[in-house]
Amino acid sequence: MEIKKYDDLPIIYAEGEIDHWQAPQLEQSINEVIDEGYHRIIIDFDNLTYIDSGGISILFLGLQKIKALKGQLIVITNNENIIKILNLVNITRQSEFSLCSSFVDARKKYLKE
Amino acid sequence: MAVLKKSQSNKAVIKLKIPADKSLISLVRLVISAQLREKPIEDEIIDDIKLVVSELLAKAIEKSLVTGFLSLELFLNVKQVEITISGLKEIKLDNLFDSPYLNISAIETLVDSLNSTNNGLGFSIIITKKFGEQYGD
Repeated sequence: MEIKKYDDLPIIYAEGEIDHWQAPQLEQSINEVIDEGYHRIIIDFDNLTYIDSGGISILFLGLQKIKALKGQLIVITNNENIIKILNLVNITRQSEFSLCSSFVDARKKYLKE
Repeated sequence: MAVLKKSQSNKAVIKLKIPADKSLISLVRLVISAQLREKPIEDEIIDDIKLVVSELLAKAIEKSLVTGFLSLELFLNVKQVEITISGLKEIKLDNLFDSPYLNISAIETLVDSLNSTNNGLGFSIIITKKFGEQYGD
């Protein structure tokens, strides 16, 4: 899992699969970004092919921390399976969560809030 | 991880045995994917099966329910995938799938049936998922 800065926006890039075994890497990345002082986080899931409750629980944990900071969690993906799971677990209904289809949209969301 | 595969007309069987190790669940997904993608089964169907099987295995390991090795058998008939997972201590399915995010209600929307059985040979969980295309061997 990589964290890159683009236009000074921190983006967590997750590829492949995030399951119960790999979820700690996502947790570490989210914590790293929050510890750097950012309360708005962009996670790029466009190259993610699988996520289960291991990864989902980390997203919700991250969302809790971000809520406390009055921040925003923005996920980028066009993968229909990932979108289906995010909808199934109702994270997309959380007001601090946004689902975007591109970095351009995510950036607009990030800068708007 | 042991894999045994044999085919009969209109039915394919894979048998997998893995130790209680979460790092191996991704390999189970790979094997399921590889087997099901040989047939005209929709990607969404395959993704749903992978998720339910992975959740089951992960939760079983987390809750120390594994008695020795986890055993998985995959059966394909004309319009249905059936996966039987055994090597578990008996548990109610809503206690197994107890994630607040992917609980039993959410899991059941992804498959056509999710049942458990204990027939004297041990406790097993059976997942079935129908698919729309016919195939032949």
